[in-house]
Amino acid sequence: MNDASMAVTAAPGALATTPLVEFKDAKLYFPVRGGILNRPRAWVKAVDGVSLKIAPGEALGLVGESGCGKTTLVNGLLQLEKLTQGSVLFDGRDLASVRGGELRHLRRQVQAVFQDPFWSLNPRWLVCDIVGEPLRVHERLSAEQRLDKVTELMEMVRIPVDALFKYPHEFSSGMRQRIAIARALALRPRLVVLDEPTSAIDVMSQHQILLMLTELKERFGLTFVLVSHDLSVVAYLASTIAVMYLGKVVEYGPAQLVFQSPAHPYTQALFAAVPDPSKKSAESLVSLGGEVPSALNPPLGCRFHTRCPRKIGRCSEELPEAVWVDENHWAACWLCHPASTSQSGRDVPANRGE
Amino acid sequence: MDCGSMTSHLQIEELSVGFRTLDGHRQVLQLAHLHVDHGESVGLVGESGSGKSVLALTVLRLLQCPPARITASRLALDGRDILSLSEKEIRRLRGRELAMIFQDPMSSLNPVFTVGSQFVNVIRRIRGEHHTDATERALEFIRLVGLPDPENMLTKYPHELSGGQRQRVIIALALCCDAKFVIADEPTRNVDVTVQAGILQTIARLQHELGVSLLFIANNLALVSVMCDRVAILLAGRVVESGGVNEIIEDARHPYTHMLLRAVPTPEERQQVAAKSTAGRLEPLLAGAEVAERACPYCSRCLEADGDCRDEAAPQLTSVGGTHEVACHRLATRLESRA
Repeated sequence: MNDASMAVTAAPGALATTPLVEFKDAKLYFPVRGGILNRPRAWVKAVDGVSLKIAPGEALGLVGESGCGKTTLVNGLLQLEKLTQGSVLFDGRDLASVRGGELRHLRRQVQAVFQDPFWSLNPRWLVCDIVGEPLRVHERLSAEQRLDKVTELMEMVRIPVDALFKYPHEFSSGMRQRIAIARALALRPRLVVLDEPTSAIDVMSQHQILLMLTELKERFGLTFVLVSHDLSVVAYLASTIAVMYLGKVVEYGPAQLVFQSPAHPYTQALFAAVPDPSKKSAESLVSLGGEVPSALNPPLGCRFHTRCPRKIGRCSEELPEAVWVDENHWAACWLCHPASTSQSGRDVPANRGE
Repeated sequence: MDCGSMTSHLQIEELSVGFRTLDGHRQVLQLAHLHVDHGESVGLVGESGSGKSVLALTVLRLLQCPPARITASRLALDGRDILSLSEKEIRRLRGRELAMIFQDPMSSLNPVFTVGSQFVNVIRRIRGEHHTDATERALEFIRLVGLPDPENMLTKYPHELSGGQRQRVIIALALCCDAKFVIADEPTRNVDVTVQAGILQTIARLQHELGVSLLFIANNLALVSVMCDRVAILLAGRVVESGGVNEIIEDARHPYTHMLLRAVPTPEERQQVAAKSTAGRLEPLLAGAEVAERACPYCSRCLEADGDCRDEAAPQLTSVGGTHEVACHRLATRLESRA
């Protein structure tokens, strides 16, 4: 942990005008091939036009059911998938145009923690090699220096140092996820993508890991992109929330506002479905009927209208545009469109200014 | 808890389960007592490795002995001692009277058979019905768990179903032979919250409609509060707190239960957390600290633990009013400070 490298990362607020990450109308389609020529016959529209900005020091929570495109979107950010259309900028540079050494340099600054710590750690490697690998790739250090750094990282994620010379299978899933976090933080990245970091872990270690991540975020001035379907996870970490449904963001706003007054019926349904100790019976949960429609052939109009409990006539015909419901808080729903109030004088939310 | 000693559907007393390992005998479960009355639903909450699933497998007698070693002064289903039954008798019990909803719907359905044939096989084997009757019965239960288009569902293979649908098929399979005691082992793990809500509602509805006794295993106290009448909190194979759901949620006494509750915030708490006005505390990490072998299972992580907790033998469950029981050394001190 040298101070020089920290100074680069720990400057939240100062850079508030330039977003660290910006999705500009990002689209990610997957072809469904067939026929003799194996040409694309149809497209699965996994991510269909997402525009978001992430400020340095922010923690963006991407929320939605499985299949809504949240993981695909962050894969686009990690350059694990190429965007079909639109662009994703990191630090003002279009990631699609960056190649070679420069890309390598950018990769240092963007690290990821994946969902399942059983698959993301090489079972044949010792923990010290796993955590030390990014250092081996990106930094010229002697073996001893590297081991020192790895030891430091292990203390940071609260794993006893005797774990260094063990294999991943000797740990519980919570411990394994801590190892994955240590590896992600080894290079002091500016952005950490957390893709369902606690979904394979029981609530108890989940809570501990979330508290730890909050602490690490403050300490190193990290920016988080957090993908999760679990709202308690999002509540702990996220400062802003984007709710996704079938490839589109349907609601966006500061975490506090979204939790206090969710505007979109889908967000409300998500919140009402979470069991919590104040609910005394299964009837008090609200379950959404039906399944998520296929992204191959998304419904016309608002994509949520097939399952929406509050749908009105207009919903099945026109795609609602995003409207502001509060400061920095918008939702794409016809119910939020007050027909009488005009939207003039405010930004179009999809291209919201910071 | 001596209430209902004769009438309990499942009754467990002084159960201990251990495994023979290369490092010698390892004790994984030590239950003083636990019972499930007829038509009642009891939740069992604990983190991974606390012995929840081992308990389920013990009740079903699916543990291989050896390496497992099971001793109990009483382990009875409907008054019948499960441990003394022959293999043939326990086979008759499974499915007919005792059923289990497994955790992973992916691996508990056979991928090479259609849903229909899996149903028909089970129903024919257990109830000895004809193919047509069995199909009728399968359709009835598929309808009961709220799956759309039952006839079509029977012809599908498990991979054609979504996770939620698969879990509903598992529930229907568990219930289709009129088992009156059902163990649900984390039935909503790996499904989305919206799907989870539907599955929980289905289980709760069927439990009432069919008059089933339920042992509901979860790692999440919120799930149990929604589903159950009573809860037992399991840590390292021991019950650290048990009682009615309301008692546990509103008046939790064990520090571990407090920690579990904090891990699943209520909507108001969630708002506070989202506003970053409250946060929990990290557990101390005393990996190297000296802890007596039989000490309180929570002492190395407990924020309130003192030297006694680490030296003395694990505390026994003591009643703090009615059926609410807690096993904690610091209970008396905390009561004093409160008074």
